[in-house]
Amino acid sequence: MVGGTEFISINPNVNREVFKLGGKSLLECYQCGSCTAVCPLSEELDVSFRRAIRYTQLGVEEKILGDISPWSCNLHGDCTDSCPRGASPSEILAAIRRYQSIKYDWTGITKWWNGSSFASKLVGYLVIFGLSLLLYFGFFWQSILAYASTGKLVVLSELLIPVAVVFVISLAILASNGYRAYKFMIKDKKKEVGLVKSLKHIASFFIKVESDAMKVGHKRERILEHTLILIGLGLFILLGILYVLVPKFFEFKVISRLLIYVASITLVIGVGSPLMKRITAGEKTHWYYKKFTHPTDWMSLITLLPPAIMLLLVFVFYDLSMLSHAYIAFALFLSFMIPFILLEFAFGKHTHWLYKVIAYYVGARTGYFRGD
Amino acid sequence: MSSVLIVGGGVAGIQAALDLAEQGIDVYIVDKAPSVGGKMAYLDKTFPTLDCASCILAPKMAALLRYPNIKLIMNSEVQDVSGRAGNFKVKILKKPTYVDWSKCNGCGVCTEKCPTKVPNEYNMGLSQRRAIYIMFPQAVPKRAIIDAEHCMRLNPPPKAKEKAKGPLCGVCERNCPTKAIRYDQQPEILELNVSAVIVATGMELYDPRNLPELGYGKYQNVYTNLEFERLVSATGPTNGEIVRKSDGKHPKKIAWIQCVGSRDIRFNHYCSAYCCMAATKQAILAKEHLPEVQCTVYYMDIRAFGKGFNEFLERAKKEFGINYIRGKVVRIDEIPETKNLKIVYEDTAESYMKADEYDMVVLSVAITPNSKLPLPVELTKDGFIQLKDPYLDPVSTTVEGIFVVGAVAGAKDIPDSVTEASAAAARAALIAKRFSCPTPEVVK
Repeated sequence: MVGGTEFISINPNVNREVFKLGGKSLLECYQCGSCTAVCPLSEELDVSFRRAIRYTQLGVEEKILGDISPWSCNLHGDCTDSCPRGASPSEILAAIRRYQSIKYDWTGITKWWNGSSFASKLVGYLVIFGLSLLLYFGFFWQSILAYASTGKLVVLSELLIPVAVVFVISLAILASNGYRAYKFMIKDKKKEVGLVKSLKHIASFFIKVESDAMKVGHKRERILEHTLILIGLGLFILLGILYVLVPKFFEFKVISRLLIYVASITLVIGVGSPLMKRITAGEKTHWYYKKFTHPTDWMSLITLLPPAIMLLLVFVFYDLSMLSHAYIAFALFLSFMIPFILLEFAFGKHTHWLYKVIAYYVGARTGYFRGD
Repeated sequence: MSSVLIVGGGVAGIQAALDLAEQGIDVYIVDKAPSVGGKMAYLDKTFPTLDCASCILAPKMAALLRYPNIKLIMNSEVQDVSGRAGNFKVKILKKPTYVDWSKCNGCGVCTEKCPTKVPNEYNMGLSQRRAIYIMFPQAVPKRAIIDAEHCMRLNPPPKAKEKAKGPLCGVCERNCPTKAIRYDQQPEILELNVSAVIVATGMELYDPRNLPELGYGKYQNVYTNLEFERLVSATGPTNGEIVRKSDGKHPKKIAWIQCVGSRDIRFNHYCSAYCCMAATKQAILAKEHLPEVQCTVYYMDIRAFGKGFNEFLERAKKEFGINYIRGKVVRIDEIPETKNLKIVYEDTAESYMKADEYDMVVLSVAITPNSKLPLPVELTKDGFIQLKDPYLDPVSTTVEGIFVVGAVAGAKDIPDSVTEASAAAARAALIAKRFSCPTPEVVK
């Protein structure tokens, strides 16, 4: 603000880009605000989805990048059900999120991963997967055979090094992107609320909103699927950390085996179920599975399913004493993990956990929560 | 002498009839109601001048009676139209009124004596009328009609019918000073030959029960705008007193909700055209009746496009202090203890969801065309009658000799309807004078 005048730059390409990123009904919107008013989040949060869509229509880039409304969206879909223009605000918001994550990412990979066609993504994915296969079934093949002949599975080996390197690089990029997102979001806002109080707000908010949503059939389905993925991925990461730091844990066969099976089975169900619904979408399928079919939606599921299946197979084979099979499955699991981490985890739809956490943190600290 | 049929006796139909009759052309007005007047007869005031609606309309209605060449065929429906420009054959079903209108003089004795009370449609069900009634005091023709469905004599309750030996009730027949009651009247079919037809069937209000989230019909203090119009009218159910249905008290805060069923792809995608100004007018009327009341209009866009409309709007804001808030109301919740209403919307000026409490909520409902007619005309996909050429021939339908005026051709207000009526009258007169067809003697 200089002398009461605010200078805002307009980027006229924004609405075209968001349109390409899946916001097909962006220009339908006539600013009635129904989406904000029907949203169950609005009871608790001072967010405006209408404003986010308006900024996008106009191309007010700096306002779009700093807007936490798209990230607070939990895809309940009430807005799409009651839009008087027949537009799909939740789909537009997802597209705005893709646009935001492209801008938050300084490497430019997100731009390709979110913006390119399904075929181009698949080719990119397969190239990286092919390279990983070469690595494990060429370079590491002898050591895999050597480990297989020992008769043991629990090994802290050089096999993990490529995955660990990719993981650390991805985390570093994510951290820097997260910091950029935080800077965009916190701009022009003031921290008013204490940290502890903010966290309390966020916790009670999620419990209330999601438990309300559980009462509605189609929302419950999606929440369960998402929760399964969350549990699966969480256990996945926990087990990975344990594997590296406390290999002894895996000597407690019952507990470790139970966790591994729970992690991989929940993940397979959590990913497989929405994937199947998208593939077999018919008349009775909820619109969510028909509208949210942007290539990034597909890829976020497709890239996660094979590693989950492979991890399950590793221990199935091991428990059946088919050790060489188990090692092949393990090598495949690692080969699938590399493109998943490198593309989807660091640059794809899965990054939303980070941006969501940042958005809710910024929102809570800057007084977006109403619960006082 | 050639003649013209006008379907619908609202303000547009009346205007067209007067223009044609003045030129010496025979005119038949067919209306399903027992009186002409249409929807304008329900209004208290008109925008943008706040003229009293019946003070403008009643002289025009009365003028119909001064022309011997205007025939009013009330309580009737057109059943079939065939033929072509210059010679249409029209079949009209004249439903029984159970009163000989040539004898009835509209004294109203029967409507006081009748023992059966039913909700009064003219007051949107907010008051009661008898089973024999005169539609409203200024009705033209001012004749009584029996509502056969509720009449004790014509449709007696089964139990009473078993007990009684002879025919039931008969109070109106006994009290009628001109002996005009005819319980045995039968429906009649009239056949007319006309040169041209003017369709002026107007509109109906969209049923806001289709939007259950707004709670119309469920919450007592949610009104449609036509109900509110009757409420503020001096001839209305409360003689112009604005009171709540739930407790009979004056409201302190009234909200108008715009675009209920209009501009919404789920209901009607068109703009209903009249509601912005009607809500502004009603807010001013509320303010005139109850100076302490707070009036707020919730709108998506204010469309004050006509002559004097924008000035009217400015006057409402400045002189009467009416608030306008931009935001579509998505939900109304009733507070059970007070029967007050909480309306939920996004204030688009401040960009977050808000919930405000009101004593009374008025829904500005959409209009839907009254176009389900046995006429050979084409309809648009919204159900309005298709115009031949919306630019250069805006009163012609796709059939030569059938003209269309008023809200059945597209949502519009009174001045536009009347303008079209005069235009269509001129076009119909051209046809009527070019062709001459024999006119059979018709029942009055």
